[in-house]
Amino acid sequence: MSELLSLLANGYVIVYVLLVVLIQWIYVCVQRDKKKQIADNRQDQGLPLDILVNQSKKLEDLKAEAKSQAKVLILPILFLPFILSLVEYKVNCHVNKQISCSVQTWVTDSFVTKTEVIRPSIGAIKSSVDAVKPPEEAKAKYGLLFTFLIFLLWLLTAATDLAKATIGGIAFRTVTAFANTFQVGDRVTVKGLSGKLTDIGVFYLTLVTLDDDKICLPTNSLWGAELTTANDGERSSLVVISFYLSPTVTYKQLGDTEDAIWEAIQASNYFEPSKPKQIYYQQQPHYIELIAKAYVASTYNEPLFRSDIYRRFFEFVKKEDILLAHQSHDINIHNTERS
Amino acid sequence: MDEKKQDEKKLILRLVTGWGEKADSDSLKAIKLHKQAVNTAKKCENDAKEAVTKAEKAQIRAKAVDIKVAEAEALVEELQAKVQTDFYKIALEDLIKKGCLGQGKLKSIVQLDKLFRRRIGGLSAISKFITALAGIVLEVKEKNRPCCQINVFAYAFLKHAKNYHFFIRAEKTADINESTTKWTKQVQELEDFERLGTPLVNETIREAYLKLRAIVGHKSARDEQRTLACLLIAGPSTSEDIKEDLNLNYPLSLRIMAALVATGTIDEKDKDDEVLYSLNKDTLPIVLFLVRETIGLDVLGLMKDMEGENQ
Repeated sequence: MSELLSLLANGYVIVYVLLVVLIQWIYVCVQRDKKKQIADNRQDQGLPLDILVNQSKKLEDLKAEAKSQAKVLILPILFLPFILSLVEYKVNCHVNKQISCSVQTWVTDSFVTKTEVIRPSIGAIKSSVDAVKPPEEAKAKYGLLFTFLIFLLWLLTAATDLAKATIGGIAFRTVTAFANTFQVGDRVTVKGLSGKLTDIGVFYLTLVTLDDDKICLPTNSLWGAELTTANDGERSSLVVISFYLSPTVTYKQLGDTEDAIWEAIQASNYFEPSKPKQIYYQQQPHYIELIAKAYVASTYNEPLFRSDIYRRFFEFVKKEDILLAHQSHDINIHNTERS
Repeated sequence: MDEKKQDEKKLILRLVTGWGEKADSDSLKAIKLHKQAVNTAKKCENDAKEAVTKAEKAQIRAKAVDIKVAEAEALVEELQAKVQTDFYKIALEDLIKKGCLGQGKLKSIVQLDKLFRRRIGGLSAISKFITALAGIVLEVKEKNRPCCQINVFAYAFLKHAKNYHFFIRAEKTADINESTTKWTKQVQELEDFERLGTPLVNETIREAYLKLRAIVGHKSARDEQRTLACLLIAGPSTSEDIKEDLNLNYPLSLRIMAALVATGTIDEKDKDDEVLYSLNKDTLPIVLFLVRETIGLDVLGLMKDMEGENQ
């Protein structure tokens, strides 16, 4: 234990720790001041607290912040030991030179006449100085290495969101942060549960469902799980809507319904016109299924988009007397029962 | 070269930033032409159907007395074929010809965007008109073709939603490029204002933005947001138009329009016993920004795809 403490009680280690902490502190202060400055500016301009920008913009900001946070933390931890080792090496070289010079000067001045006799002694002193040096250098080096390992462990367990990613739920988080597969703010489906992803922690991944339920999924259980993201960090996302018609509808009614669905999609203010849209038919035993695929301009408006389309669709089928699947199925059952 | 030849076969639409306020006396309004063409076409169709009914009766009589049956049958067939004629196109052609087409004098057809509403059946009028128009104008020499004008936002939507660019050549004017650059810059300023609190140079814009934001920024302001999107894409509308477009069951004028008009971003104008609402041109970037951030519809983004269009 005392050896461990003696390793840490080293000028270079102290400088290393202080620099890492100082850089973090400066970064946090700068960020806090920046945020405060923005909040003050917004308040001065008469803007309320919430920022009215689409999630994709917020995601860009979050990503940039996470990256700079990670850089500010990881870079000093990784590179400061090398820099300090280099400094230590230079300093030692300088000190060694000075020691050698002073020993040589002292020996030359005092025993210049007895050179022949004393030369072996100078060699002995020099070698004893060299013998003393390595443990001191090693102390600094091992101290730095030990502190570096402590920092690394801390990084892996408790540091920034991005750094946490390296263990436990780590790779998962690394993948999500760097491979753009998944990010906070996305609309996702994991293990059959859908919602807005609000946090990716070391232990839990947090979702908020459409009904405002908060779901926490253990991160370590997600390795084998299928991860589905609806918008992949983008503003818009694909929506798939099914419509069920009675198999008794005429060909014309079917065509008219398809046209009406097209127009209902395009008429919705939530529709994203720049993305592709399609309608498919599917024959089922008791109904004809029309599957519409279209993009909603803002992924969070998906329920409103669906509702808009369904409402227009129901209005149309009601007006045109087009039978929906369950109606005809019920009628058929009733007719069978009567007969 | 082939592309150029293909382009020559397309109907040319000139994109404009406004909603037809600058229409001169020589121009023909698309909506009037369409209405007249529909009425004439309906009349012609009824006449044709009546003629078929008469011919069918004559055919029955002919069969009864066994005289000239073949002639009667031929007449019925001929008339039935006539019923299938595109009366709308014929009527529209007549109307356009009356208005100078093919006489060497170039006239313009303006406000094509007024034919289009975002509702079930609301897109059929403009589709019908443009399809017929494309067929008509291509029959005449290019120099004699009328110049057709459409609002740039409506076209941007139609291009993406209905693939209009397949049969239309859109001409962007210098004014469009200038306005787009200006709007993009102003929208960016508004974004910086919203995100970072960077002061806006124009105090009127700031006030109007704060007022409109207070209304549409509210999480339950669904209809207010949709109203803005509706006015942006479909152009000037009456309260009834908006109600129909948004599929609402209640009148908008009091609940929504009054509040929106008070922000200064929407103008109201009395027209034929109805109030016509339209977006204020000066505060248009505010609406562009708020529609993008609330509903997600990025109209300027849609217009970016049109950068390749001819000038």
